[in-house]
Amino acid sequence: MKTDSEFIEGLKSNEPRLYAEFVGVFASRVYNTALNILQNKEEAEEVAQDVFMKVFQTIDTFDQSSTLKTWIYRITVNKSLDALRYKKRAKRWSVFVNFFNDEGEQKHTAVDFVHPGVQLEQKENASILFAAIDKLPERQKAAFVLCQLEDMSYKEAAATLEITVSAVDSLMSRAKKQLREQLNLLPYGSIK
Amino acid sequence: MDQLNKLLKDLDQSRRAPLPQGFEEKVVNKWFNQVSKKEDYSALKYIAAACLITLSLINILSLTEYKEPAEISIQVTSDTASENQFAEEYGLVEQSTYYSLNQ
Repeated sequence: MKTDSEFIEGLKSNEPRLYAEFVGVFASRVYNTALNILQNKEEAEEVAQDVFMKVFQTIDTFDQSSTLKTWIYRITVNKSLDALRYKKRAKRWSVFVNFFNDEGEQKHTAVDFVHPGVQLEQKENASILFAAIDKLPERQKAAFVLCQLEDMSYKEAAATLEITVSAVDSLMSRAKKQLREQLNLLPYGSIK
Repeated sequence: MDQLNKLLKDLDQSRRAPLPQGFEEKVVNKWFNQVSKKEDYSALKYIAAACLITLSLINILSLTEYKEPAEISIQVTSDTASENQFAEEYGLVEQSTYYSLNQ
């Protein structure tokens, strides 16, 4: 695999072959991070494409103060959270419109995300977990997705989210506490 | 084992979703389409700039042209003046004709 410097130089010199290689290396991480935050396949694909466009457009300004991987994860998290905020705003607006318009259709349905990477026998449990993750505040959600689902160390997550390691630790503790509270509210036998 | 740990352990076995079909190709094509569009736009920018410069030049030239007739008219006036002066000096003034007619 190419080093960060080789990728950066290759992208700056506009080598088409290197663009494909670069996307091949980072696509799965970018798409899966966006998918875990957004919990929607189409939106995750759109965000992942936007992430790569942003990387290609701003590669000249990348100062290498962090690794390429951290930088790409940072863009992915920021873009995913932006998309999430936009989705929430649209949802609020549709509630407002539907309140005054009885004939209006409810476009935004409740979250019922089935993770495409999860095996069939674990799909139900995964849906329960993702529904609980979806209710977390956005910073806790981002930290939980990076550390727990993307297997990042607290140090890497701290660099990605541009916060301290202790802040990541605190976000993770609060996220886990909130998730446990939510799971405890489920009826007995919901988790198989 | 608490419920959260159980769910996380289950998820741990397989959680990487496969990429959408043709994702990598789509991204690279989208980028190169954007780049070529940008080049088209920059060509358009140059054309627009050239048009602006041409229009400005035409404008400046037409203003210079506009000044020319004014100079000519001054010259004509001065010519007329000298003609009158000449006529006066050699007794060819219209006054005489006017006078004789009145008489």
